[in-house]
Amino acid sequence: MTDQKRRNTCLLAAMGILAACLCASLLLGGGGYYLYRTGGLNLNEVLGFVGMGPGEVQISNLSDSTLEMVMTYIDEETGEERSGESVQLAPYDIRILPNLTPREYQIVINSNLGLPPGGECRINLRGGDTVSFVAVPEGVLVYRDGDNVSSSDEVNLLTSPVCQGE
Amino acid sequence: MEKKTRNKLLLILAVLVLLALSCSEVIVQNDTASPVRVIVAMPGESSPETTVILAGDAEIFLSDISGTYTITAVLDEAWRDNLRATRDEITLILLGNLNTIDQEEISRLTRALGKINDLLDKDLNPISCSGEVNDEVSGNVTIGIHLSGVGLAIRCD
Repeated sequence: MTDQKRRNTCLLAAMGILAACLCASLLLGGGGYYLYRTGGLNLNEVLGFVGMGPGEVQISNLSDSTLEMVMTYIDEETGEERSGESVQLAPYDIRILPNLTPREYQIVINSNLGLPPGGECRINLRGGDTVSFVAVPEGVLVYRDGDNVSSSDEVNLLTSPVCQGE
Repeated sequence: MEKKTRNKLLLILAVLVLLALSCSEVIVQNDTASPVRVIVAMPGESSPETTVILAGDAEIFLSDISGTYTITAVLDEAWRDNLRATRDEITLILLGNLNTIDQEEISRLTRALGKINDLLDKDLNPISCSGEVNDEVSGNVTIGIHLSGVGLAIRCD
């Protein structure tokens, strides 16, 4: 084969590979965008593909008063405190905050009536974690799904190790 | 670049930005004389949201994507009654009035609260309807009293 023919074959192969890459990118991008717009794909799943699955926090207000949960976190790059989520719950509301980036969160539960001062709860949310808060008139239960529990202190927001970043 | 061409490009860009920023909305109106508990599943959301809508009030729910939404409604008093047993169990655990803490029980209780749809016991007579929303079409949901005078009725437009 002459050099000219070899060059042409090489060029043709390179163009073919380039066209295939372009088609694949268009298909992936277009398909991904379509799935995202129609709800077939969500952030949770996308992060799951790259091994950075999110965690979730669930809060149930089984008290007779409205309560507010405020979540903040420290931005690792700037060191500044950032507001995450803030939710207001009427009596007997249940809220699930999915797709949370695994990191340390500061959680404050404010309530007008009934509940004792909740103080602050610093949770270390890991990928795939579900941390539940259940407010009743006597206090707030906090529980990380799968954790071992041997006493009431371990699930009471005021004394739980879950609220001390463990 | 010619002015006309530039204007066209700006217009296309503006439309694309608007499309990216657009969202779907569902308005739920409670036309009954009692508070109603609604469980809202907006397009693309993995976890339904539950909240109460007072008599005569309306709430707006938003989603950043198009698709199918589902609204389920029960009388709020019935919903509260249903959760009072769970509340009593949580109180017992918190106050340490149990000889031993049953970890499985705590796990069961918190997981049960997370599965909102499973909490809708058939005894609560939940009613629901679904509809489609997109950037241009909003969902309008009306909750009223059933024509028979007993129970709730729901309509998704």
